[in-house]
Amino acid sequence: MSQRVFVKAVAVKQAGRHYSKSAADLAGEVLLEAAMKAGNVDLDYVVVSSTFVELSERQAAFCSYLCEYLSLEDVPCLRVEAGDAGLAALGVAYRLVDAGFRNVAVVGVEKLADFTTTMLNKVLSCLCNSTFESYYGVVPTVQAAFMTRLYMERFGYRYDDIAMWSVRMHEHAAENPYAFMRRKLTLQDILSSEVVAEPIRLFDVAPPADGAACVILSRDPSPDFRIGVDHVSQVSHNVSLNLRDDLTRLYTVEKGRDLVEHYKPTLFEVSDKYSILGILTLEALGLAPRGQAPKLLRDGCFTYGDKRCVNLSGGLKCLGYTGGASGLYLFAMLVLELLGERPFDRAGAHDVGLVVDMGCVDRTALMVVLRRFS
Amino acid sequence: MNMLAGIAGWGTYIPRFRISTREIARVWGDDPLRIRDLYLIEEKSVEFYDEDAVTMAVNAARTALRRAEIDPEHIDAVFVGTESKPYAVKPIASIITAALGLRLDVQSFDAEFACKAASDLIICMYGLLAARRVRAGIVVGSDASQGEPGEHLDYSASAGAVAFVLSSDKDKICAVIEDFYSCSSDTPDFWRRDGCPYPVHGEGFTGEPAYFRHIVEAARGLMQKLGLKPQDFDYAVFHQPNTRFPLRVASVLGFPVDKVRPGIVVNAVGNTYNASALLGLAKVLDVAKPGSRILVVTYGSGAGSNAFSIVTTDNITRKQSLAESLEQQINDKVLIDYSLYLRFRRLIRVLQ
Amino acid sequence: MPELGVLPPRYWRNVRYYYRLEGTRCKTCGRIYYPPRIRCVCGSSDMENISLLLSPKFVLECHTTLHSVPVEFEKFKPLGFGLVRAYLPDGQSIRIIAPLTDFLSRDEYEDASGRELEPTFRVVMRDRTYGLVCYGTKFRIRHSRV
Repeated sequence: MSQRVFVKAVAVKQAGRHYSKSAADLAGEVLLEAAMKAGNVDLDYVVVSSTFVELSERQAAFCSYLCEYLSLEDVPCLRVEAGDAGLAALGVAYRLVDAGFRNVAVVGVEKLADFTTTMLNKVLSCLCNSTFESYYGVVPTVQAAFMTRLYMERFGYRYDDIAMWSVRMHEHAAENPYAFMRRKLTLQDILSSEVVAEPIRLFDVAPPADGAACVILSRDPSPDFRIGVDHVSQVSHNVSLNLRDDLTRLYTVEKGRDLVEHYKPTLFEVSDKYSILGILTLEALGLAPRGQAPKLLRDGCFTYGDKRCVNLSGGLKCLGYTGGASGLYLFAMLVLELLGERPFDRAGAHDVGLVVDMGCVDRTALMVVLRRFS
Repeated sequence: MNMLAGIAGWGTYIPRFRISTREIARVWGDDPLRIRDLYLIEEKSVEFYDEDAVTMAVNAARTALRRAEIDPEHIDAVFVGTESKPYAVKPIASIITAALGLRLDVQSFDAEFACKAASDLIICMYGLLAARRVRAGIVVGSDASQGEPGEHLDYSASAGAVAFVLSSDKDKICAVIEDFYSCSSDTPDFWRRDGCPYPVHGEGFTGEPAYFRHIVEAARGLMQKLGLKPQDFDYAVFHQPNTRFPLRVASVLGFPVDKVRPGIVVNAVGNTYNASALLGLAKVLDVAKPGSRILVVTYGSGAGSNAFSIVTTDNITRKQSLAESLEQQINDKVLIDYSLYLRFRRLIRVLQ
Repeated sequence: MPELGVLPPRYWRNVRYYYRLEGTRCKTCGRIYYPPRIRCVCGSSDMENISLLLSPKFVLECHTTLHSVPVEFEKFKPLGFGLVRAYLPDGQSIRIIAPLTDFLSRDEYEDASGRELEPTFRVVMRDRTYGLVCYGTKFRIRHSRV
């Protein structure tokens, strides 16, 4: 067994409008739950992931105040931020465990439901270049809209084809008790939803929400939680979208193709903040040939019964978009899928899975390979 | 002829959106035919919600600079005449220096004399050019003027800007400023108190003792000074609060209608205040042949007039081709209804 | 003093980008950047500022209309944005993300890809009733030509 870092526990708070809870309440809840599941281990480090906590809670050093709230008075803690790629924090935790810390908690938390829609848009626009994009009102949705339009034009798709991603995510989420959006949607529901930034409609956008998720990584394998971390890597492409030759490619996620070939994962949880990013991720990872992902989705690929399943959780589309916590939700879902917890047991036994988290629109990607061992 | 200073380039800016006086009359229950007869204005320009006196001034100044074919580095002064500054305190002129990438050591300021300030600034710039203290300078008239909804001004007060690059370089000049003549008096025909959103006026009192008295005085003074008669001018341009006033003052002064009509813009875009008569001049420059003499008389409430005699040179024809004409801008339009008009002019009460 | 949404020094130091669309050009290899960079991918730090406004031609390559806008743009909605290609005088071209203006509904840009645009100086947003009025460069469909 080559693994040196193991998953000791995961805990997830269903995303939603948790008006009565603060960021510290949500983060504390999942952290305590995970610690308890891990056998009340002593934590050697707490790594926090939150993209917008300064803006939502007006709180710097959130990690320290969180630890005080939990009476973790002498536990070293920090926050890691790489846009909304929450797994960047997990990457740091992985290195800490690898470097000798025994038990490290990674907790992702976000409070987005406190904001009104337009205030939230202002917060999200911070993910774009503040001087050259956000100044004029650009939000990530605008970037995704350009990608969607260019993809449709280039490969001759209509909007219905793009909407297939959303239909599939809602099918998957219908049975996932952790999903924020559990209603099954028809294509017609999506086609009649409001236009946010055409061609993008409301149901192409992962719904912003409050949420928290926690993962405890450890040097010790857990006897009843047999998941190890095989690989963590970060790929960045620090280039503005306007300077890229091809907006129908994901320059960061493409590097994950080698991981797919090497580790041969059969379960995937990928960031789909927008439908187009889910579709392009399928192509970037080589799961679908270029320009073919919507067609394969329509043909029933990537779901229960296929040899490779993508986003059985319903993806961020249905889990909810929780900023810097999103990646930890995907991670936790993949763990539950590998463990064969209900309802994911329907997928049968899978040994290796890949999580792909994304920061901003294709500026950075975090990729984590998880393996179930016996 | 006196070649101390002249126009090297001109630029105009009219917002793309217009509202018809018929539509305004519909909303306020006025008879559209009577309104038309009263002002002879078909449509007026409306600033889009992202436009103001600053943006229009910058856009007009850029066009003027392109036509002038003068390096921004060689501009020594920027003056702006306006009565609708978006900031009560903070100049438009300095924003123009930044937008045009001018040097730090330029002279720049804004001036206010109702609709007359921009033409006063032409005289200031002329003086600096004649004194060799400035090699080339920009004068802009820009207004997104206020008119109280439902009141007379609602039918005419509009938005637009005009800019001139003035130079003392003979090779650059396409229209020489031959001479000018000014007059002013304390005449309370139209004003806006500090902090008030809309001006008020004396209605009929804005006519005889105000507009007509000052324009006639300035025009006659200038012609007498130069020993010229109406027949010596190819064009006559007057301040245009509506179409009736300039036509009537022309007849008082003895100018035939066909010398006035080429400089009329108010019928299509409304009263652009500081840009009004100067837009008329720009419209004439767009079509004038070399050697044309143009009488321009501006008017500002409160009250005063500047009369100019301007003579085009051989350079005029080439300059005409260097940028879009005012006629093209006038024809590039989208008509809106009164509800959009209220939105664009930010007259709907909101929190932010 | 009330709270300001737009900090004056930040606006002031960025004016050349907002008003004149300044980017940078590498004096060693000629690559152009917008947003500007102080170091080129070729490794050189010998960069010069260039104003993209000097481009004689701008073409719309892709566009969208944003209906759900950031709070300070609520009264400017919907917001139009384009991927705009600027053709510089030296023959090079660069694509930028830029705001579009002078349109009443999204339909006006429906078949606008490939259309020539013209830059225009506009208000980007107004900071409350007492803060700065923020200006910048937007684009609109060019109707007439010289």
